[in-house]
Amino acid sequence: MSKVVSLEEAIRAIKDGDIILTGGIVEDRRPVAAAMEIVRQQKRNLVLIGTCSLCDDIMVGGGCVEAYRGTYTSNGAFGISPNFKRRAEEGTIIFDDIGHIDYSLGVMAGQAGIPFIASKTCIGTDVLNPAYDNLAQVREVARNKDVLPNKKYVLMEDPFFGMGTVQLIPAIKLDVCICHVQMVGEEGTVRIDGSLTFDHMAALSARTVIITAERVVPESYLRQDPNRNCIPCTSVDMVVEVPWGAHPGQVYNCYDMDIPFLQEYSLSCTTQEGFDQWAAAWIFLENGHDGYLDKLGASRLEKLRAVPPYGYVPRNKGGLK
Amino acid sequence: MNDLFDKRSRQTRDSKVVSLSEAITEIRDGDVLMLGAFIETRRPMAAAYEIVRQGKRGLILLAQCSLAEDILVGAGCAVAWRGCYTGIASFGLSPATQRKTEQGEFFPDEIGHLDIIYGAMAAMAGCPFVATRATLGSDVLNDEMNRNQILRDKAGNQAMIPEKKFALLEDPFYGQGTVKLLPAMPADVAIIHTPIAGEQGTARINGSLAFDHYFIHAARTVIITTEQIVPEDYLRRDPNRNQIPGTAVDMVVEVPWGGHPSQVPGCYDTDISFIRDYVAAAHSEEGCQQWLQEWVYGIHSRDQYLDKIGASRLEKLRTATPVAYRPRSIL
Repeated sequence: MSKVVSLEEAIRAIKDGDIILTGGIVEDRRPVAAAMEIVRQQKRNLVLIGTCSLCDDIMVGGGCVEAYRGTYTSNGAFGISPNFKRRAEEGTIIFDDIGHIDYSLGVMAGQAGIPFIASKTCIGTDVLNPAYDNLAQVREVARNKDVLPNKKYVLMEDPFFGMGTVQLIPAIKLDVCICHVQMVGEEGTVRIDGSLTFDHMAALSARTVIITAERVVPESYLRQDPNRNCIPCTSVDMVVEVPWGAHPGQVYNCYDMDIPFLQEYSLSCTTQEGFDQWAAAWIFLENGHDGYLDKLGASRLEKLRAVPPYGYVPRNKGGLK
Repeated sequence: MNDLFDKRSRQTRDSKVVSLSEAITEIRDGDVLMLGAFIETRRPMAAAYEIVRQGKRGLILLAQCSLAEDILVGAGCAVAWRGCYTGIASFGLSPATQRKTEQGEFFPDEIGHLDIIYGAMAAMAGCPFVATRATLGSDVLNDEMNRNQILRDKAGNQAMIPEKKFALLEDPFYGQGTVKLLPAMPADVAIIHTPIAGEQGTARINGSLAFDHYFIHAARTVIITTEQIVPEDYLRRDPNRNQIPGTAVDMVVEVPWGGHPSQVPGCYDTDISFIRDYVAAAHSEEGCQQWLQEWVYGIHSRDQYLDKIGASRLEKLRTATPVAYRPRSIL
């Protein structure tokens, strides 16, 4: 059964107040086109989980996000996520910091269907400082409160290996997971090139899974090498073909980062007016994503195309600087 | 700090590529040992034979007690086991395991199917335990069948076995009620058999990974036996197709047909009559010893094993493209 839908249709499934995770990491394989459609559809009160980088920061700028629970709020070399930074300093976004490993272990527990996992990684850090524990406020925003844990963590003595005090980390669960990938079958089997980040785990922890992909391909092609596939179609609800759907980020083996575009974003979005102007120029376009691609222009995109066997654009080949 | 999840020190060598006997020498009596893959698929059989030949003793097995493990039990190399499955699929219960357990010479400590996955996952992540509702209400939690202390007493390094088999706790996060705290399942040594591996240990598996991708990070020493050693460059061209990073691997051994009589998807299928003969023989101590004499003690090299089976018999096991097994129609 084909799960292929339009981007607009897929994003319509997201409800205000949903707990949402976007795949990829920092500016790598991020579902940017999906985030822009979320802004266009003016979703509200979303709770972001994981990281607040490129596509997440666009949703923050668009007023879609009320709370964030995660471990990283930057755009890599392009500085701290500008919309998040501004809203955090204004006190108009709720955020609850967890550790890098808390995030991976939490998603791993979520995919395994277990309620929590024990770790020593954040012991002695401010992740455990009650003054910064904002989980209760995050829960207030969420539509489905049972998707979030009652407590941020619990400490107990390890009863098994004498490891002393350990932190019990609750599983991360999600209403919605959106991943952007290189290739997906029409029934939802996903093939990722390069780092999987947490996508293969997060997709199993979410009630609704939306895959946007550079290309939708026949399932029979993907099934010829099952070991190369990363997310089973049984976990996927909707499939959307969105070429260049992670621009201005990179997609390994497809295209590299659009550096000037990312720089312009960081500079524009230090104020809300700046973001609104940027959004008017790049998000609220006629024809949605097609309008976005036409405005970028084919020649600009061609300069970003990845070179085999590297999977990115080597410096000596140019790209966009 | 507990060194449970750290690599074990061993003899330094220039290359990770070693002979099978060199690799197996690293296993110590009393080690907690995990043999890769599942039942009669992709089992490190040649490695198991070599463990028998080297006369290892007191090993504690993890995860399952199936084809490869049963040979270790029959030969008296293994004394205890923690896991969830003691059969050889359609060939019946693991014969030596069944016999020695009934005679009180072998000590099984049963956990749930999901427990072995979560236990390996926790050890892979360096976590001391995870919480689960799996096995609540079952005899896995029955004190009368709890042999955790026996495992602890018999382990060469007691720290590898948790102080308790499990603990119960109210779930503080999601209101799931009473949950079981399940300890991590670290191993002293893991041996994984793969279709191909690079000389630095990067390995590629076809078909089910079973728990191998967890156990390579859960074991303090990792030995890869492989059908073929290939240049690392070749494997690095499609990194997403590799499941075992070289950084996790200590030793690599090339052993063609090293999984025989189990199947290796993409290479060869199960040698049904060979396993049937083993199971029939291993039901008695005498039969088991005769079988070991014929196929293990009496065999002095891998080449001798292959020649004894015979090239024409092996060729009939080779898998067909694209199905990665031997379809009935061409048997």
